[in-house]
Amino acid sequence: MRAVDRSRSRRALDAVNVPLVLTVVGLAIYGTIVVDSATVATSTMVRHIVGIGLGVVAMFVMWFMDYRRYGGWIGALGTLCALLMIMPRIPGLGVTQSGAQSWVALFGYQIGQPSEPAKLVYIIVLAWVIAGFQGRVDAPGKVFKVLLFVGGAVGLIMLQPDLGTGLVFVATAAVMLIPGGMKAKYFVVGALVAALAIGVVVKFELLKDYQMKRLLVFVDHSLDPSGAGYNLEQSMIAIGSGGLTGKGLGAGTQSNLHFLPERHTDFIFAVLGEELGFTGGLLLLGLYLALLMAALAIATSSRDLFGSLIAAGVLGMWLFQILENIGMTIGIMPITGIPLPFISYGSSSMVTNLAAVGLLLSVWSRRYGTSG
Amino acid sequence: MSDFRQDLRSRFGTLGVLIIIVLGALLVRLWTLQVLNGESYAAEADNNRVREISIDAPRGCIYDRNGVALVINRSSLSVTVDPTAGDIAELLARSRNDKTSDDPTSRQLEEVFGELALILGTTPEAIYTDVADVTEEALRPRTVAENIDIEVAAKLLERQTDFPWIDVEEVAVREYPQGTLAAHLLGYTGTISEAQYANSDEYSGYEIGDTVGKSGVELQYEGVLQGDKGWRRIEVNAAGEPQRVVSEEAERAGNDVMLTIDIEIQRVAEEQLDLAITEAHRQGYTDAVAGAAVVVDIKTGDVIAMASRPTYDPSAFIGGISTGEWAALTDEDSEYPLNNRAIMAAYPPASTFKVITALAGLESGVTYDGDTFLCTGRWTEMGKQWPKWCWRHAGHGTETVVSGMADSCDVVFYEIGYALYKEYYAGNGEFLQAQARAFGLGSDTGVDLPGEVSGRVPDADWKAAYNQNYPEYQQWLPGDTVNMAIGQGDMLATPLQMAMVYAGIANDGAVMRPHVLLSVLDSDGNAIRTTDPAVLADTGVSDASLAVVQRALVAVTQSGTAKSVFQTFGVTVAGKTGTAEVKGKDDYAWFCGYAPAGDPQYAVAVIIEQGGHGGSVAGPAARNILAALLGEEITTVHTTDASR
Repeated sequence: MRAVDRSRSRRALDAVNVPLVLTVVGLAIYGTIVVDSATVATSTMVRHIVGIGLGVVAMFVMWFMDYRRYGGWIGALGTLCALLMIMPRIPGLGVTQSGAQSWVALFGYQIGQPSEPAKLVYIIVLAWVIAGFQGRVDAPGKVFKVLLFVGGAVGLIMLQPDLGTGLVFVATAAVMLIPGGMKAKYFVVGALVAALAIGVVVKFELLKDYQMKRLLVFVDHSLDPSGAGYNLEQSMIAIGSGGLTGKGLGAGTQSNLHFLPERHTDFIFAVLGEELGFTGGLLLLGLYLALLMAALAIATSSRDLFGSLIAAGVLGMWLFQILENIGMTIGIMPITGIPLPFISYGSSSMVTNLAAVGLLLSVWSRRYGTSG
Repeated sequence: MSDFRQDLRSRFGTLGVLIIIVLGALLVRLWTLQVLNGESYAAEADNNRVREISIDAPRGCIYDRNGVALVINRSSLSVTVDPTAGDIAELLARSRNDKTSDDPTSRQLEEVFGELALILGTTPEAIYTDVADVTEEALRPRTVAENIDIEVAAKLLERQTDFPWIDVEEVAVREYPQGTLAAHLLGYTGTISEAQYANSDEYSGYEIGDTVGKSGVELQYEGVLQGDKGWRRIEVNAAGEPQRVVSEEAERAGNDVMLTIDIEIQRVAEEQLDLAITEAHRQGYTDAVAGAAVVVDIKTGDVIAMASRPTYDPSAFIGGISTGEWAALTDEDSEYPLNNRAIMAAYPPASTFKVITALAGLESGVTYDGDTFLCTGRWTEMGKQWPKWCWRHAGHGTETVVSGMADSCDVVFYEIGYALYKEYYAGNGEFLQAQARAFGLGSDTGVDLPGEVSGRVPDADWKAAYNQNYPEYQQWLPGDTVNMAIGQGDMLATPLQMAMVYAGIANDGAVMRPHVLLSVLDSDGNAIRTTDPAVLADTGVSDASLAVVQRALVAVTQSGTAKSVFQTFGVTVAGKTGTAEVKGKDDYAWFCGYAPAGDPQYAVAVIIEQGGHGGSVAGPAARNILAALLGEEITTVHTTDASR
């Protein structure tokens, strides 16, 4: 009996990736503290905590689901992914906010941004597509198939339009294609195609004016001085003025006097940088390093390529969102509306990210190849 | 399969490197931003949130030498509008964006400002214009009405809930307890001009809209009278709404100044100028409207009184002068009431200049005490074709330097002038000009007032330069020196300069520098700066020559041209009448002198433009000013005397 008990508890412990869970708990606490400092209303705080609660539920659901079963449902999942992306365009469901239809609402209540969970479904389906090539994406036909899928997803998301999610799709795919076995020359070709695509977008003005300005303003602050340029300027002042140790929680003047726009969502890092300084940023980047390394360990541990690619996808999604979100607040990336994983206020993204943790745990706990 | 696993391992290695690169790049950027450039961003953050509002400091007051208030501050009620208040900020935002179609319509202005305009007796548009003034600091409340009645203020405060964005403030404005007395000397204040602002020292703290001295003592001692502004540093949010006061610095009132003026003497001087003008009119000189009077202390250079006519009311400038009023003060036909003629107008000194001629003659040796001259009324020494007349065509008979001065006999001074010309012609020097300059003529007295002119002492060089386009008029002729000898021709002097000439004669040849500042006071009333008497010019004239002229000037009031004026005067006065001929105008009446003759204290100069005879118009005014100074009775003196 005792031996069985021990083996059971050991298996339960094996099913949990402790560094990942500890890191996520740390990030969630850190995020809650910063969001609390950036907001005044208690209702915002309540919603943030509720978001974490829902996310934990989603995490457990995803954890107990055997990821290997998704292969059998791939058609349904693809459809779900497409549905999530066009949902905000369905009359009566969609809500327009700052120039894009990214939200859905029912009976007047905003429910969320379906493009957030769509990211996870996208990762699973793409992982299945790439895994089908057995670790060798070495023929133009295979590359084309991947491009067709990624291009289709980006095309759908641009209907809203949600440029940020579109970029996440592209970056995630690129990261997944590394372990997916795409030849280096195709990455070069891909980069060229991306450059060409950007050229076409600029040339034929396919983006809305506000999107163009936001994208280009990090190159030239004066491009949109009262809009995105102002946001960036204020964000850099906030972070820069934080100095080494910051002004203290709740003492950020840029944030509390409302110079910072979107301060509890997209620009939450500016609040963190202003109030907690370089040391606060260092701590956050340290936590992210632990998070990404845990995801990498899980990708490495998987017995099958599908599991590795799912983990790599989650890793890629986080890595790009971290780079893009922090990068835009410090002027090295274009400004797009991408939340900072586990830190930004926003239930859709919090639930999605915790579900992604569940997905990673699902891969981790099934690394020995036994059926789950 | 193991090959594939091996491949996969290196691919995961690539991912690990990618993670390190991305996070490392962010970290490096953060280090640059926060640690290397943190300070400049911190300054920018402060700049973002802190706005400074200045608090005007009250100007220093101006007192006379006995401490009588001349210019003080009174609190005036003004109505200000807060440009950051909701309704107002909205209107302003709409006027500031590029779209003119967004500008508030008159109906909208009526809606917001209509009631207020009704109470203040103005129009909604006028209020809006003041509120939308972009030259003001963004957060500074805009003044929309000044100097309002207490009843109006009460009405506004009763209805404060209707206009939560107004405030009734007490502001300090200039008050003139003595009315228009000494208006020219004191000067007026006004809003700083763009030129003044541009030229001001950047550390002086001036801002557009500030009140500054524009003329007179207000301008001369601007740096003393103007206090230091107070500052209030206010934290604002992104919408510009004030959140809290970060720090405050109290304003420091300007220093008070005490002038050398005795306001009672000033009052008499101004009354006497007015009476002299009336007297001139009575005598038929109806064009007389302008004049000046100056009194100085001969030993210290203190200016005891300085008056000018026509005058103006400095209180008209409080809260901004209307364009109509300004036009009236500066119009060509206005006789320029803003000009202080005592220092800004240069006149031919006429016979009052004869003291210089006499001294030049005595000092150069061309004449001497007891020298005699024959006046037949007509003088033809320069040749029969150039006859000159004494003012008394009948002639004075035999005269000396002293009696010639008393009678103001022109022939005596023609003779001396002609003799001085011969000295010049012989190459011995321009003695007359040198004597005039020795007493400070031809250059500024350096009085501490703005706008002084230097007059003119004409000489050969000046004439050659002045007529450089007319070679036939360039040569200095005998007639030039002869005309100058009786204070005519091209000789010009200000009333203050002439007062200083007589002060110098009275002070045994030492001309003191005239000044109007007695002292600068600190907030406790202690003098922190005083003007020390200084010698402007030591003329170097011998006591013997001075004694002759001093004696001659006493003879003027005892037996000469000013005898009837000083008949009833208890103190011996030394003085000289003058009647200047100005082309196309009636004669200008002069009187210069000093008293008491035995122990001189004060010198006085009076001029009435187009007033006629010095003896009958300027003389009585000078007499009564001296009477006020020496405790004599002020009386109305009518002389029909046509003497000069």
